[in-house]
Amino acid sequence: MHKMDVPLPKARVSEVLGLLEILDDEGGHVDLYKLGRTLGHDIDELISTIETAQLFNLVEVDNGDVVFTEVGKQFTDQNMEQRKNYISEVLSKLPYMVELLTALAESEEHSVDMEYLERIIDGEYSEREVKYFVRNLLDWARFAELIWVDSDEQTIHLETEEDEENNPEQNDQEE
Amino acid sequence: MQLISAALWSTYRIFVAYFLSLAFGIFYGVSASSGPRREKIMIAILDILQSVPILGFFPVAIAFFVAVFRGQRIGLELAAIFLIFTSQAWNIAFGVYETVKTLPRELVEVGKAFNFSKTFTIQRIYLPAMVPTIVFNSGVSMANGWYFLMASEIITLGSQEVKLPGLGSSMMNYLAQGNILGVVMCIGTIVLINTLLQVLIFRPLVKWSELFQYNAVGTAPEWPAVADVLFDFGKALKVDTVLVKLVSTGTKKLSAAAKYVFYVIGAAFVGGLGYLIFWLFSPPYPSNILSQIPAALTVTTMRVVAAVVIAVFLALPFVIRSVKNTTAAQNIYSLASILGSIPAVVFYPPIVALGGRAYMEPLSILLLLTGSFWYALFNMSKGAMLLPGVLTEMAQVFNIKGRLYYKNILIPAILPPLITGALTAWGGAWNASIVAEHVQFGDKVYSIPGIGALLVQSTSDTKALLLIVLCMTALIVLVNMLFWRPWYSKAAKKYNITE
Amino acid sequence: MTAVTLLDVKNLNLTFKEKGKELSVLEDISFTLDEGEFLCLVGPSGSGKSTILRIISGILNEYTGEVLYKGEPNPQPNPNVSMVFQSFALIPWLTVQENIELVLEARGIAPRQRIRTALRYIDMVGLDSFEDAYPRELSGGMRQRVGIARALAVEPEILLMDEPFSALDVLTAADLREQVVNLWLEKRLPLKSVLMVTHNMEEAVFLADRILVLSARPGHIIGEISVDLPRPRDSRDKAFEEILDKVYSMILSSRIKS
Ligand SMILES: Nc1ncnc2c1ncn2[C@@H]1O[C@H](COP(=O)(O)OP(=O)(O)OP(=O)(O)O)[C@@H](O)[C@H]1O
Ligand SMILES: [Mg+2]
Repeated sequence: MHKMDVPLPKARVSEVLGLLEILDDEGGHVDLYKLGRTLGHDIDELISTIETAQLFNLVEVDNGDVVFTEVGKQFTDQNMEQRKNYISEVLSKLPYMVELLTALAESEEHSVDMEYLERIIDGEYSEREVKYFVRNLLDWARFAELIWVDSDEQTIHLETEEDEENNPEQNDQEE
Repeated sequence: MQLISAALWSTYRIFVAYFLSLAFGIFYGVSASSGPRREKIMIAILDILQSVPILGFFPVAIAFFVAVFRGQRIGLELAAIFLIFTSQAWNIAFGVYETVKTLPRELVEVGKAFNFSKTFTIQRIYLPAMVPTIVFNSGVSMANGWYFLMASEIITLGSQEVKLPGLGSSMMNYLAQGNILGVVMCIGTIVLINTLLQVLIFRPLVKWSELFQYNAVGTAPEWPAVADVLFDFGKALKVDTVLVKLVSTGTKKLSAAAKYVFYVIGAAFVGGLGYLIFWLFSPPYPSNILSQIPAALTVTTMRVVAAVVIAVFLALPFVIRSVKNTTAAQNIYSLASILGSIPAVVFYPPIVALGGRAYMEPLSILLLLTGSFWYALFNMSKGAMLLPGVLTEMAQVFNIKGRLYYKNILIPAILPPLITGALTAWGGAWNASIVAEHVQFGDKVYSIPGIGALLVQSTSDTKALLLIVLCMTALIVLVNMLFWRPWYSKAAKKYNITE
Repeated sequence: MTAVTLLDVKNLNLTFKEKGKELSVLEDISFTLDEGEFLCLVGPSGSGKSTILRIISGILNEYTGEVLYKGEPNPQPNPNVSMVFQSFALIPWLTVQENIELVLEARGIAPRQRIRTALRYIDMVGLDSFEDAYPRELSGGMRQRVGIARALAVEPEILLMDEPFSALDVLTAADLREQVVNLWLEKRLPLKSVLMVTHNMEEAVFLADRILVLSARPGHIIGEISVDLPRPRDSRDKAFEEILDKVYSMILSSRIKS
């Protein structure tokens, strides 16, 4: 019933990777308030990052502490290729992602326009929230190499083998 | 002596029209930004008003004022003032509208949180916030008024030509007499008046108005003496109360009675318009003229496009000078105000007569340029002045120079104001085209094909005249809607550098 | 001893319309602000914190529910309530002194009294000799001092502060926080209570007597935490950290299934 039940990544890839990094340094276990302190007590970033890490089953919150899950522990030891594979696997099962991938597969050019996601994400969200969801979802999907985005044409494209050659630069666009 | 009296007459008309434009602009701008429904309607109307080639409607407006005052002098004066007004008011109204629309929310909230009365809020927050736009756009409006001076002082009533005393009509007389010295003196007077206005009033005010910019940083500009003088005058004449009244009436919700009156007027207007259109499109058609419209529009469009492209290119070097250079930008502003105020239309007939029909084609484009270049310059340098410093600094750090710099940094960064400049130049060029294609000097007539020439030839046939103006306006508005506006919003989104 | 209740907020509900969609922003918000209390409202972005302050200050008046001031309906606007803005909201064309005089003038205070009051509060926030400067010539920290001086100059009983330190860098914010604490502890002002919004948890524990925790939009109150620590407080203190952890856990519990 509550809006936050919608399975969408609320934080960016870099933020979640950063959280895992901190957790790894702290031995897989950190007090919430200490984590808050490292983030300059920005509650929004803290919540959205933890929530997103939970979405990918990488961490859990236990009694005021953030701890690694089994998967999360493994994830940090993996190389980039394996990480991307894992994220891709989880991401492509999220309802909105399924919808996007289906639309991409069915479309002739294997592409949809940028507003497509904004249209399908409905519910009680403000415009700002929807924009934010879309931005993050695309961030993850690009990381997982499921799609690529043409910013000039404002279109989303399905990632295929041939496309990879045409767009060699799109993989290093996350910050 | 004669010159001084002429100068006083012209100045008086321009200032009366200017103050009316200010009052109208503030009222209309505030009103248009005070509700989404009003905004839609009022901005659409303003867009059309701004696109109507004023010179084309001169004959109609004059006929109206003359008829109302039965040919008395006052009617002619009002007609002249009205014509100048139409060249000044829209751009001020737009400026005020944009300022109020983008007024930072906190400023309004301060007023609410510290329970300012409505009058107090208008007086202390809304009106001061409008200062930068009003000052800047006043430069454009002034130049515009002088540019159209000629047309406003020589009024054709049927076969009869009435001249109102003033610099515009004096110039015409001198020209007819072949008194070149007289013409030069008149032009000199116009330049002198505008230079004085710039030096004494507008330049200090432009510098000072920077104080009213929200989020500005750095040292505050000095408070010039002229601002104090204007303030004292304003207080003595109770201008502030008038302005507050104007704004508060503008933002008021319409009362039931006012709404009723408004609807009645609106209905009457729509009815009148409907009837007009019905009349226009009912037989008999002036078919010989109608059939010429498409071809005439096409040639004129080509000339206008040429003028706009040239204007933008000519303005570019100046604009580049004013990037991050407030002084240069202010100099360009003053120069444009002074030179833009010269009614170039005056020189046009003798020059055409001198060159003959053979050179009229390039000369006409030159005339269009005098009616459009200043707009491009004004708007483009305004945008360039506000360019964030980081961009140019970044270019310096990475040693990005020459073609690469212009292509990848400067042009994209100033694209939105460049489009605005081109858009206004486009409107100005159309306006000038009405006098560019048909010239009478002495008893000789020179003419090149085009919509302006067609218009002049059909002044006696009201129906044809209106149809031509209608077609022109429709074309201008359509191009604005389908080309300039979309391009602008795309560019503004893509090259948004303010964040 | 039971404190006098200054503000009593009852069942606030608010829905905004955006492009035809109804967005519920506040859901059944009820709380009280007691005399002598420093109350902090924390919650994630978009939870309606600013909206609550706007309602109390009278900036916003379309809502359902009740706001009582000393048992009576909160006058709109309430002259005993004043506000400090996150983005300072100083008027750029007025000097520091003129900015403060402006709000005094709006209350109909005579010119000489205005000048005296303005200078006194400029002095109080440590801006003496800057009274003729324009906001643009001041650093962020100094601008917010002006914002605070302006809010105090109308001598309110209740001071509302909307993330007053969030636009400042960390050190400036810490310094200004100290000064606010000092002003508050000195009790020289007619000021009786402060209601401050923040989304910095540490700041809340540092300043507040009591913390109200709001959920994400639509905002409702998840719980409250009393901060019974002596002042001045130290954020490295064990007891401080415990309370901080409690606030974090509470705010996370609404969103994250542990
Ligand atoms: N005038 C308005 N029209 C429509 N929606 C609004 C309006 N004002 C606020 N909102 C929405 O109401 C919600 C709450 O806004 P509010 O500014 O009170 O949040 P906040 O808790 O102060 O957030 P922040 O921490 O970002 O300041 C947001 O989702 C916002 O988008
Ligand atoms: Mg807020």
